[in-house]
Amino acid sequence: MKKKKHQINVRETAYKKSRAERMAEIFDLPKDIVLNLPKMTFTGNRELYVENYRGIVEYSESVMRFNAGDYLVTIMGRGLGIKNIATEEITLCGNIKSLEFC
Amino acid sequence: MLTKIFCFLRGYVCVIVKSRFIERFINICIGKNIYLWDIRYKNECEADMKMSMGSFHKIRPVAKKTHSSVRIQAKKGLPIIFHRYKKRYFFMSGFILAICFVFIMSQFIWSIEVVGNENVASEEILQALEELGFKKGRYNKAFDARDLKNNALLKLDKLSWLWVDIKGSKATVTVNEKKQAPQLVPKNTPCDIVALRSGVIKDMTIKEGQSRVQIGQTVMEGELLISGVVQSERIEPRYTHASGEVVARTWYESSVIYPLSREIRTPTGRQKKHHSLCIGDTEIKFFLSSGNVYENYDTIEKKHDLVIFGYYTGLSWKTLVYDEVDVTYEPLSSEQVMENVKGELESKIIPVSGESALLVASDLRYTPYDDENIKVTLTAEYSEPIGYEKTIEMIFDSYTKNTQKE
Repeated sequence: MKKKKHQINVRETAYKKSRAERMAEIFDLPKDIVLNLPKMTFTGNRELYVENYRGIVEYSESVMRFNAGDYLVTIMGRGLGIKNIATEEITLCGNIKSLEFC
Repeated sequence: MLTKIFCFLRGYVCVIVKSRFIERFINICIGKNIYLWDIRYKNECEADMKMSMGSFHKIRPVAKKTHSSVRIQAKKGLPIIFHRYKKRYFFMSGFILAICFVFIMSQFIWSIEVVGNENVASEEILQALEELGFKKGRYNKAFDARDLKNNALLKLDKLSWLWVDIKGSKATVTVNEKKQAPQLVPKNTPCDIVALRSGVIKDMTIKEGQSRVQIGQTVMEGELLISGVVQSERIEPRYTHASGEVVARTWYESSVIYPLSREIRTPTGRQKKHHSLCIGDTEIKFFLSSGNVYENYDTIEKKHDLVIFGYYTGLSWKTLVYDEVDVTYEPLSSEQVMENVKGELESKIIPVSGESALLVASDLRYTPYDDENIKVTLTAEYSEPIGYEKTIEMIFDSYTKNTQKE
């Protein structure tokens, strides 16, 4: 009896790209603008610059959570502080350990 | 850095916010266009943050809405500093006056420096410039460097170039001296070689002319060494430009009368200071008596110029320090005196040929002068070229005499 090859369930791992995303890829347009996604820039583990965020959800010394449109971004670390904050951008500083999307 | 400077110029407040919902407070602030920075978590319901002065007034409704208390910790920035000194009129006026004073004083020339001169004295150059109206205390924009250069060069014929560079209150006069052409006796002019100083001939090299002295012969100053008139029995006298080197032993002597004791000045520790303020050339004294302060004293003059941002303001503070001293005399032996005087005597002797003179021997002796003083004499022997060219002036006279004899 022939052993059946283990098939990977494609639908579970890959996500379906939206039409807008596909269009952005075709025309080489920046996705953060087309899809209204946050853009994050790390400087090592010391600083995180986020563009296009939607407000802080939780703030403490070790956890920082902010709304980024479709996601909730959680940052874990030590001595977290906000260096700069404005309507659409935020600069975090401190010892960043991890970043999580949920 | 730039944002920090900008914030400092506009002024900001450091506040402590106490709230159950700090996140909400921040979000509402941002929504209302209240700019925050440097947010630091302190404990569960407290956070430090900074905000601009203008936005602090807009914070009240936000605080009310989020049930939080906002307390000012510190106010910082330039407007705060100004506000602090706003009612101190005399301080402000003094500050403004000081700035005006520095600004006005730096518009005048307070120091003139001469650079590049070796043989022409700085005083001579300054004197010539002063005659043209360029001196200390004059407005620095009243002069055109080109005019000054042209007029000053007409007055100073020893200079080939001059330039006046005015920077604030300091003027630098850069000069270039003319090089004097050496006085040469032309090759076709007949000349003799004559002794510049008395001595004993040590060595002779004759290139042209006829020697009149022998090695070992003593010659006096001005004596003919090599003659430009070449005579022989058969031919008529021939006039040539004599050349050659005559090296001779020459002696120099210098003496000085010196006391057999030395003055020792020991400070007693008592001191008096006289201060005065100099504005340009005038001096404002801050003391009453001048003249003899103590019986014996040493004076030290110290002068501090007030220089702000590299500009001399024309003000200087002069301090005269009078130190009282006890004068005692220590007896010295003649050997000690000779040792002390040796350098002074050596510097007095200058050989006629300058650097080409070679010191062969020197002798230091002393003779008693009177009870307290001795006379120290230094004799130095040099080996040096002593010949110099001297034009034969009486060519035609001697020529006619010679023809008459024949």
